[in-house]
Amino acid sequence: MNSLFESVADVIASRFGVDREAIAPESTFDDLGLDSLSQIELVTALRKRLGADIDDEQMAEFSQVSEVVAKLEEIGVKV
Amino acid sequence: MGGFAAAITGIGLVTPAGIGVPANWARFVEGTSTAAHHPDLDALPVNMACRVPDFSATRLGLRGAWQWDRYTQFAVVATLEALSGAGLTAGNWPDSSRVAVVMGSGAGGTATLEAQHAALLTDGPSDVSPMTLPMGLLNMAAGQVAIEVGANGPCLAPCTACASGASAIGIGRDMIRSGAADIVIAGGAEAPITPLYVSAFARMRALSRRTDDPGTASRPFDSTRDGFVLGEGAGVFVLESEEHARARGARPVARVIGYGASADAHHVTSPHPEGRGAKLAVRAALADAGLSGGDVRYVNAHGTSTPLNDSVESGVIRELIGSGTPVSSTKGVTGHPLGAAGAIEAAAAALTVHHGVIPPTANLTAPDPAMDIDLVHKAARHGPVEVALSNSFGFGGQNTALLIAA
Repeated sequence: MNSLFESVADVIASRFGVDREAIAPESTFDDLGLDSLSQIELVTALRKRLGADIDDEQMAEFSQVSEVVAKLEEIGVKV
Repeated sequence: MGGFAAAITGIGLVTPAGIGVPANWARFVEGTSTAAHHPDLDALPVNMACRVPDFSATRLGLRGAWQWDRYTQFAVVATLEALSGAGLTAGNWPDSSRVAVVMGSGAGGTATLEAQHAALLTDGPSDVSPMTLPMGLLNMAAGQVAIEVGANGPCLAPCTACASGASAIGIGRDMIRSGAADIVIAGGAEAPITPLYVSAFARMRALSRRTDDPGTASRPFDSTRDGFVLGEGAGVFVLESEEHARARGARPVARVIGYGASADAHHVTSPHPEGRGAKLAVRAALADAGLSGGDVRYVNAHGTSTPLNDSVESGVIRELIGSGTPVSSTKGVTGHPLGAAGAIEAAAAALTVHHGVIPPTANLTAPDPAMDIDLVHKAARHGPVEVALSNSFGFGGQNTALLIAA
């Protein structure tokens, strides 16, 4: 979970210009200033950077970073 | 002067000459070119352009700029400067529904659209960004400016190609005149230095080929001119009625006193050989202001540095304004920023009447004798200028003329 979280946080920080230090597992997309379109953009970024296969509909269900990390863990994404 | 004046109470500029009015005005008066070779364009038919130097919206403190195309970033930065100059604070409006945004562009977010189309072709539909349209559409600079400053009045993005920024200012003044808004943020923004735009203009033979010496390539009205150099940037005015400006103690930089628009209805890219549409626009602006051509003391020409534009435009100026009236083109410095050009050059005209200084045309060393107009070159001229004309002509034969007074 921990290193997977670090990887997701790195992707969010670099793709959206969010301060890396501001990203915690319990951070919501709202907290980070990411709207619904940014979440869909995150799907692409996670696929490209981590080979993670989550789809747009699944991502739309999530509201915080830890949920994304849990999903990646569930589908067996390794970093 | 019998017409209506809209006060210009703030100006914002982002151009290849720099970020902010002081840097731009100094460079315009100095009259030196910003064109340069750019290695990232080396695979294209023409590898020079006029780029805004060291531009980073993030470094300028704009949160969320990653989801704006470069042309929108230019528009927002120029808007914030114009508001600050006008003594206005974004979001702090007595009635935000009375604040309008009119932000023209010719190419919109073409860099975004080109990149996402490439993603579609190489990686497939699921790799196309959901931000493609929010970043790429031509009305998004206007939309993002409204969001950024909290303006709830009418918001639109006129497109008249290379006249877009001037059309926006003319339409903005009309909105003040009709009472549709109390404050209008009006201008143009463009970021077209992309593979598609460079290639397309190159195939039209519209671009200068002086790639061995880029600094001399944009040379409006020179006998050796051979095309334009692509530029980018944004120009923005804060417009309001003179009464509105006076009531809040704002001193206008200058005033927009006339606006005329027309169509050549002739050809998509070639100007009418006698400049029929251009003359209609200039005449309409003069009629709007209640002036005659002899009242104009300076012409900021469209002056693209293409053989045909400069020759037809000089004929129009000669006939309607007079061969003794000083003329220069800002494009010698900035290259051609397409849809932003009209607004950037209206700003140059406003600063000319404000300061009483006529900037020279950069690179104009051998004025084409066929022009037969008073071409300001080599050095700026000093002295009062009561009224300036700014011309803008777009592909599609879409013409705009603005009259700007001190």
